[in-house]
Amino acid sequence: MILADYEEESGYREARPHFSKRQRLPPVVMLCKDMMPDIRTMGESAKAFPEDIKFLSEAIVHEFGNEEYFNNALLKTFRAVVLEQPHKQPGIALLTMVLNSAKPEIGKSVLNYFFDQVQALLNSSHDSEYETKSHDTGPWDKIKLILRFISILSPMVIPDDLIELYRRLLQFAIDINNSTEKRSPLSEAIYTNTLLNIPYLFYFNSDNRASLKTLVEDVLIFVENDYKIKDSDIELLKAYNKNSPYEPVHWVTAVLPNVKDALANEMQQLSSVFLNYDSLLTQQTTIHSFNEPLNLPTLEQILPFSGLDKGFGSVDSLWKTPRYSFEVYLPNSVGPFATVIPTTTYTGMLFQDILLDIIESMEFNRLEVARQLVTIDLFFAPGIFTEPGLPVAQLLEQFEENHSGTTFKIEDLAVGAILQLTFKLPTVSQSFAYFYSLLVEICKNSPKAIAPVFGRAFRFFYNNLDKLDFELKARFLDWFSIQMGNFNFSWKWNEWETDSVQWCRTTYNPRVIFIKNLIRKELRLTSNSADVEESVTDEFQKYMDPSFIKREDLIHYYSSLFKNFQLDEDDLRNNELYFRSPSFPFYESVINILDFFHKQPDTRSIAELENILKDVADVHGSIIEDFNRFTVTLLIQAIVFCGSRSLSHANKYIDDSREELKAILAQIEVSPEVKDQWICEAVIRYWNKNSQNGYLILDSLRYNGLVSSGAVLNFSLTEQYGVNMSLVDSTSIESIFRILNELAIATDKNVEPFEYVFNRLVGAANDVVSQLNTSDAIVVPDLDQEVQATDEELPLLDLAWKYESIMGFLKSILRKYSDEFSVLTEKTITNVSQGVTHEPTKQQLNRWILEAAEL
Amino acid sequence: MSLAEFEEIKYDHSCERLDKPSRYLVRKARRDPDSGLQQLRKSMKSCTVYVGNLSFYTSEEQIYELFSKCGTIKKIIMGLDRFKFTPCGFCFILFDKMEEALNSIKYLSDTKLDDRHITIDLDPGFEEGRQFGRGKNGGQVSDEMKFEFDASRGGFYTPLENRIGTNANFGARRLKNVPVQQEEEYEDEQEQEEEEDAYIPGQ
Repeated sequence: MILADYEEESGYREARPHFSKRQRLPPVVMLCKDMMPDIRTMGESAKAFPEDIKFLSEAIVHEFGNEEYFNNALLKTFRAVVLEQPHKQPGIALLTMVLNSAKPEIGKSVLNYFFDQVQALLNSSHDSEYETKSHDTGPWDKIKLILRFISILSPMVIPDDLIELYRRLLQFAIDINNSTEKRSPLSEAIYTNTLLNIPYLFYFNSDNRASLKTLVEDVLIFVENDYKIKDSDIELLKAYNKNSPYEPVHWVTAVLPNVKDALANEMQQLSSVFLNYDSLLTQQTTIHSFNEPLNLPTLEQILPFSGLDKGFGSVDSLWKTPRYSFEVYLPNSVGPFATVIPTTTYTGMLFQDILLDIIESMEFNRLEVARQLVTIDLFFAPGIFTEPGLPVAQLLEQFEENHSGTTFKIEDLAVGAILQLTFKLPTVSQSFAYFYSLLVEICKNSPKAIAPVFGRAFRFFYNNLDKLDFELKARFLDWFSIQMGNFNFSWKWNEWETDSVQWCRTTYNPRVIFIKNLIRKELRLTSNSADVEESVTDEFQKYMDPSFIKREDLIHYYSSLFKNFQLDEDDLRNNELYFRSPSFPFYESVINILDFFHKQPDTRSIAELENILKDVADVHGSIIEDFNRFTVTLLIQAIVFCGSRSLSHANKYIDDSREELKAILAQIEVSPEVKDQWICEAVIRYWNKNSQNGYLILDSLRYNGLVSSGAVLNFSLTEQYGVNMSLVDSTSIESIFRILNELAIATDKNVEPFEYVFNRLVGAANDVVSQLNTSDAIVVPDLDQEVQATDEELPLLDLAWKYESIMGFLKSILRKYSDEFSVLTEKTITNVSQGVTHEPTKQQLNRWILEAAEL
Repeated sequence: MSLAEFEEIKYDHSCERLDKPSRYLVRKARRDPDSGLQQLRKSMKSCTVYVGNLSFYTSEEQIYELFSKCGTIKKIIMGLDRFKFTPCGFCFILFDKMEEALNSIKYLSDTKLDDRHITIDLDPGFEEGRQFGRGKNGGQVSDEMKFEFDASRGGFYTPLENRIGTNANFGARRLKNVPVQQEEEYEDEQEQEEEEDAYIPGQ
């Protein structure tokens, strides 16, 4: 026994050679199993790189051509690295060229393989049967990556052949661009992608360089003359509703000057970006050409696909709308310098491009993405970035000592790239969970280095909340809460205390709304509310109460059901059915109703329920204000109470009693709209302390046909006790988006609800404008400019924020549901011109409506 | 039976996919020559995922809050202690679409919910009865095999006399060597044994 213990604890068994029970793998499979991972990770250790090249090339030269299995595995591995980890392309290219020197047929095979890939991708780009997967970045993005790889192989390819590829692709972009007056997404994509690759032709210094240089100069002149960049200022797509904290860079406009700069001055910029592998490059004695010319699609074939709106892959789809830079770490926010390489340089743009490709193409393994993103500097020239994880305080010190050192932080770049995709408008390329968990992962790997980087992003968004797009605010809230949930809810809350002190009496201040919703979301993410409670400072304890409406309003709601009866306020308790409290006059009848719902559906009859209600009406009718309203409220709250243990309990009770409820509701003689309103109220008031549960139960009632989607929208959009919940409460906002999303993907599409929400918000905007009593544009001071308001000014300021929220909401739904609104363009324009008197509002809305039609 | 399609070494990607069947599922499939492969194929196409290592106190609503970021949730089925009908640390989530289920595995496995790293696995689909723990005491088997204190999963699981035995076999070290009866159908036990799971071409 003791021996056995010893054995286990010493790990003796692990040291013993492991004999598999099953047959061993054939040698070629074993070889591939060992070798391919080495190729995938080549370059991750700079020290091992020269040896890797040496040993790998020797083994490949020996093995290539012997077995089909090996050839396939090798080429597929090359392809996977080229497409998924573009920063490793130079390594793979170097290996290919070393192989080419030793055995030219291997070089030729690799070149042919990739050329065929480009051809296959071109063919698929106009295939209406194209099947996409979540990691697919799209045919044009992959063509870009392969073209880049082939470009790095320039020492072993005939220069004219290479440049011909560029020329043909750029001509193709020009032709597509000229075929329409409007902006052509595909032509912008090809134009930018192709130009961005040009410097890679000069990655290695070879005999081909001089001839390539002349050829490239010609290409650049030709493309500059022939490609017309089209204006694309779409307000709907802007991340900031006003006073953007930075000037976004238009990719298509910036790419050519960037590339020209990179090639100027004897390509100085390139030598400071690209890692120099020249010493490892062997003499290329055999120079190859492509077997056949590239067969591009015809214009007729490609034009139906040139909108890039058919969901052919994540990165290609980013081009559907004009591409602008999205920045989080602005220059001069830490010190008088930038921490992210500007997109107005070739280096900056290239890094953005590579990071984006990594994030999108490896979405199936976020752990690997997180690892690659923060170590990408290993694959570029040393000295581009500061040392990893350098705190900004030290960076500032270093800068003061030495102005010439670099200030670019790899962490800022990596996190910024993920945030760019997380905050992409009008749609995101992957589900939010991916980006949020990727960010969590990066932080988990090196919390000390990354947490402060996140902190700076949080502060940046928080400071700009009053300008940030409505939908982006919701994304920020989600990200923040998930991040907190993974890191013990720790945040320096004291930073935000002054805002809370100054603005807590307002309803629509963007920062107070954010803080409230953040705390509520955190409370919903934990089963131990003390975790959240302990994380916030005293100032924020007042937000720990997650009530939907205030307690006095809740009392008012229940009181309004009765007459000549004073309810005992102490009986209104959290997660408890008020009507069954012992002080309530007919609580026993209520308990009978609960018992009825608890019975198995097949052992009860609706007559029982009707009798109980009839008894109540006969005996206690005198204290009930409106018996119909009371019946609806009582029955709905009884069901909600029965199912209050969890969502699935609620679903079960609703499901079981659906027909009975429908029958009784049908007997009540009031309009369905009023009934629906009572139902919504009953549910949300019951769950006043957790409106998310309330809204999820309303969803269940909707699916069971007990309440209409329109009614829930109406409930959220109607002011309750003086507050428009659809502007301040995230559960309300999420419910609206949930309903509209469902309707947008429904097969029998009905655009009415979209119009309804639009009109209701326009109505709300009109109300605010009339309260503000102005015909001028409504200007709200920037919150980061130390705004002060007296007690008299505060209500006006609050109204102005309310106005901005409404407009922000309108902008978001017009953009998010542009397909639905594009069929309503005329109608909405007419509605606005007839219904809105405030000229600036009218103009703004008209502009957005027209933009939505174009999206 | 050949599970080749799941065991083949593939060179399509430059790193592993996180949404492949876990080793536990593959082994389970191998032990079941009749329907193992079908079950495995079904798991790859199902809209259901199994979530484990939850705290007993984590509510459906918390699970909803996190998993709704992956897609539309149709139903959450909490795993219950089969005697006490209380949550016992796992659940099934039924998504609207298959991709959403795979997304949750790719994106959320090993993230924290209620301060615990949750595990997510593919699932061939929920059947009535699977919501109950299969341990002797009603909860999950994994909890019966743990020795350390875990506050959010019921503290020490087994009563003291059960752990040290009544016939004067003192000391936890001895107990470690008592063979724990392992039943095939246990949903939640993690396989420890390493085995080559590799495809052999042409066979």
